[in-house]
Amino acid sequence: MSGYLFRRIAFILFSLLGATFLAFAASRLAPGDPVRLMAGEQNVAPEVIEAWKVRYGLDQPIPVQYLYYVRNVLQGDFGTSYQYIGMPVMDLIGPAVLVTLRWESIALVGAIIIAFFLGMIAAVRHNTWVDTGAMFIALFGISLPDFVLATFLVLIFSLGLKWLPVAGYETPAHLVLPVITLAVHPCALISRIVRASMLEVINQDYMRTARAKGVSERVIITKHGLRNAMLPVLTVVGVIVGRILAGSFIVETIFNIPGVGRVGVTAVLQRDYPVILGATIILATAFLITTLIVDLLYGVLDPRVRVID
Amino acid sequence: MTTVAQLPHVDVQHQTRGLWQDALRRMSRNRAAVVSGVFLLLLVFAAVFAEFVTPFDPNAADFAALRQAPGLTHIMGTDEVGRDVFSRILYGARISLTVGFIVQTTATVAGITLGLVAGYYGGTTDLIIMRAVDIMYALPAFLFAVFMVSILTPSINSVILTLTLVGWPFIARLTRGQVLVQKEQEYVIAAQALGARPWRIMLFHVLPNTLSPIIVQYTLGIATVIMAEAGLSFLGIGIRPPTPTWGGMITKGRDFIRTEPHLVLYPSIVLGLTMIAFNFLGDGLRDALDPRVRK
Amino acid sequence: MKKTLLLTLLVLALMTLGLGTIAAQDDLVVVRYPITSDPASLEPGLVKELYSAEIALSLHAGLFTYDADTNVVPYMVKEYTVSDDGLVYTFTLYDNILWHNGRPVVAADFKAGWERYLDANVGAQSAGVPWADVGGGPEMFAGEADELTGVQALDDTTLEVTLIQPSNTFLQNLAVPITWVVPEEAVVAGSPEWVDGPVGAGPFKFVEWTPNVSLVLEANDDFFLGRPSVDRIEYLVVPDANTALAQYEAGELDIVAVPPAALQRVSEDAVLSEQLAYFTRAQLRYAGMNQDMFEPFKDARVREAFNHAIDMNVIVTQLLNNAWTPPTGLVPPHIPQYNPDLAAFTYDPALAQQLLADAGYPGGEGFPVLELATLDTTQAEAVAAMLNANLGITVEIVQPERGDMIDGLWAGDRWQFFLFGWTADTPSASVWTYELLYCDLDSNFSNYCNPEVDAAIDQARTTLDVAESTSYWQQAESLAMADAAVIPMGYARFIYLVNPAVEGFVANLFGPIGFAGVSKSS
Repeated sequence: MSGYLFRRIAFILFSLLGATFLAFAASRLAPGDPVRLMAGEQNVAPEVIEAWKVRYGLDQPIPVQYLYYVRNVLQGDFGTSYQYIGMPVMDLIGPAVLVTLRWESIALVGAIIIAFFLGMIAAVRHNTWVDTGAMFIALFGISLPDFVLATFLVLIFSLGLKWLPVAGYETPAHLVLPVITLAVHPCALISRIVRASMLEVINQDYMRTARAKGVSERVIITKHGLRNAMLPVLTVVGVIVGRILAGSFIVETIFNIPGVGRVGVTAVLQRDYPVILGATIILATAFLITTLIVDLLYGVLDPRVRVID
Repeated sequence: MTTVAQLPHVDVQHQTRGLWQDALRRMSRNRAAVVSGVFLLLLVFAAVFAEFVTPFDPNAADFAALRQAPGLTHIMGTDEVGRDVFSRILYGARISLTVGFIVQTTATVAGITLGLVAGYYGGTTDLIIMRAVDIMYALPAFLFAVFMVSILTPSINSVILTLTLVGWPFIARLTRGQVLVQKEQEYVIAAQALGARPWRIMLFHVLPNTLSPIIVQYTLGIATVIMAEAGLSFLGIGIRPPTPTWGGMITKGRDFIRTEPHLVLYPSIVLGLTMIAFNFLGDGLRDALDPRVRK
Repeated sequence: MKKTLLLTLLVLALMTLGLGTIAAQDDLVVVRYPITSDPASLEPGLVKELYSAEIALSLHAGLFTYDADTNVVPYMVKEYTVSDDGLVYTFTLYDNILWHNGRPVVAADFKAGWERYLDANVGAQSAGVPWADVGGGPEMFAGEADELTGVQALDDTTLEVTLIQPSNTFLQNLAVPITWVVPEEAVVAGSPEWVDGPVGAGPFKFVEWTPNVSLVLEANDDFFLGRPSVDRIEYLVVPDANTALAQYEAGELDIVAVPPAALQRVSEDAVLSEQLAYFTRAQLRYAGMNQDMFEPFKDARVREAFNHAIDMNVIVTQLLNNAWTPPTGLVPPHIPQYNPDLAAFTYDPALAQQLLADAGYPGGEGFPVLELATLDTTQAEAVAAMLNANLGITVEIVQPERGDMIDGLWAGDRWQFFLFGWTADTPSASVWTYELLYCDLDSNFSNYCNPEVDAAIDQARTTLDVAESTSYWQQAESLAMADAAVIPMGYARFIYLVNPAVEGFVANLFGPIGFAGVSKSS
């Protein structure tokens, strides 16, 4: 097992290196001169451009720049932002990551609990109105773009009923609407997977056997069904974690949450390469660790899956 | 060798053929799936023959009729430069459906192939494929998409390319996870023991048994892709205007949601119905394809 | 089922623990003001966009400033004299000005501060321009000298500046934050970084900057012109304009810029329309026709046809709900060299078709497909539709992201046809007529070149007599308009919603003038 772990960690480092290299290469090959982008709308004197190229190491060949970058990152130095003069990248990204982790984990935990609930009911009452109803709720969540949902939620609960604040990241009340907006989609996705997996399990031979032996439906569902439904759900949850980590830009923008999605996309739009790279590394690391945990859980949940990789 | 007649793979192959033949019959009994199928066919039809369905050019501005409420002439009203919303929804269907289908199909085929191969063979093959998946996967998806599209300059091609790149690793991983389970099943072990060729086992034994979640994922994936396109539009880096896309229409309409909600509502409703239809269809397929689910 | 729900709620509630609650600040007068992005820098000399400039006005102070009517007025300067030859300026500073760190402001701080901005490593956007006429300025920016010899601190409150040649614009330069300085001990030498936190001498002091969230300033008790009435300003970063507007309507913000799309609703709303405030802005919105990138634009008839084929009135009134005012020429009203006799092109599709036919493209036949780059698609779609309907031309719209758009403009080799705005940093026709039209200038994004226009501009720039210079500027502008150099689309305005409790919020031609004169009743 420790050998396996060691290998996995080696893979994580490899993936990180690959991902950073891709991002780094893309950022250097992208059209547009970073120094000019730093200048905003002004035209910059050639003297300043030269001085800043040296300052940011942009006068070096790209592979050399990459090596320097990797060396600095290993020493914990992610560089300074191009956009916010003199601002260390980690001062921008660090707090943003913590914000995102917090509000999104609330949304995800909520989504998973509700999704299991919906999915199980739908599976057990397969092909009844309960099933259709539960799945319709799930579909509703999938079919509505988050910015439409967010806009209507604000319209109703903040501007209409005045129950909740419009935007910001200050009190728990500020989190209600964004959490709902973000949770709806994963909830819909997971509940469908739960339902599909449960249906598969319910109709397996060993389940029929269990039923024939007189084991109660409740025990069958919770003990066998749930346990086996976990497997595909786990895969999906792992993916969702990675996806919403960086993909909640829209919700973070509309509700003005200072999370890493907003910071990252803003950086892309401003071509703030050090911040883009920093965000990529942080998000990739978080994601890879999640994947590792998911894979380890895989082995725990289904003994038939040998931990081989 | 009399045992050959009882080879499991022959059995399964037979069952598979029957399964596909059966599927249609079972599908036709699923009302939601049928309605969804009809809706999608109608939508595709309307998108293809949009010229004959609506009299208005989707890009023709009418400055005498800005942001009109739905009425007799413009049944879904007009947008902020006086274009017919209904026409734009139909022409937008072309774009959104095309993007959705191309991206999801390409990503799924690639993902299934690589996932099957990786999961089945294991070892070095698995190692290489999954490391590639890991790298693609490790990149924060939406951030990467935004980055790619903005570097490639926004256009329909760069949107398709980018979303495909982002989409395949998910399918590959899902497939591989399923294959790892199926691989340990008795029928596969039996087939292997009897010396069936790997591609045969993968295609006829493993694949059919892994399809259900992939089909569900495929249908949801089209929704995800169309949504992702809308998300790129939200950032102003989607498909070039004035080309109508649902995502772009909703994003633009959001500015007027307080006064002219129809600008958001109609494209949202059509988008939503399309998503629901894909989902019911996928569900129907899943139930129909799985011989064990019987009423 | 109930148990599941309760458990869910409990778990979720637990996860919000530790999240702050808004501290009660009933006793403090706080103004909450949205900015769409963080300021790029809090150092006045490094200002490079609207927000760092706005914030600099609160945090910092300089020798001169622009008042609400965009006149240059003394700020830290108590009195000043100019020698008869216009070369030597002697400024006497107030003797009670303190930096936020408690040290008195002395004349030598200006010499040191300006020398800092002339160091290319610091990366000041001004690129030495404000000191181009100051003795030693050009040499120092070129790295050939270590001292700004033309600037001498005679004593703590007396600053003497010697120019190389007389200048009409020197005092204007001193009135914008890019020439305002910070104490030497507060910044890292040769680097655009603060030693500790931002230090200025302005009406507000730095409290806290949380990137992506907010910048908080508090009233400076020792401000030399008297403590401001507002206790705190919270600049909140709100990237989405619709969110900011909704927050204002919910009372979460005190002031908000109104997006053009919402202007109609706001102005028809009984309550909100009372809170609307319009301010003139020195910004020209225009469509540029890049002659290097698109051959047909070299023909003046094509450019004229374009001008006549676009109905600016529809765009300004119908699409933008009068967020802009219709164009008259290149130079906005309220700029001294504005020419009231000039008129923009009339909307005349028939004439436009005739001109295009004369240029060899009857009915748009044979006219290549044109790419229009823009940051705002609504206007672009209208322009594309009008050109298509009136001239039979196909226009494709490209919406690059902002940095890319601007980069492409400066590079001059990316966009054939573009919609952009050009904003003043000084109230002079030079901003538009010279910067946008002078041959081979980088900011001449259209790559327009007309020797007659250049000749008039040269005269205008070198003539010291104000009236004479103005007539040259107007002549250059008229020539360029007759030649259809660009397509003027309109003049932008600042449009805000202001909480009725807030008084004294004013913008001049460049933007809001800060919060020193703002008060808020509870």
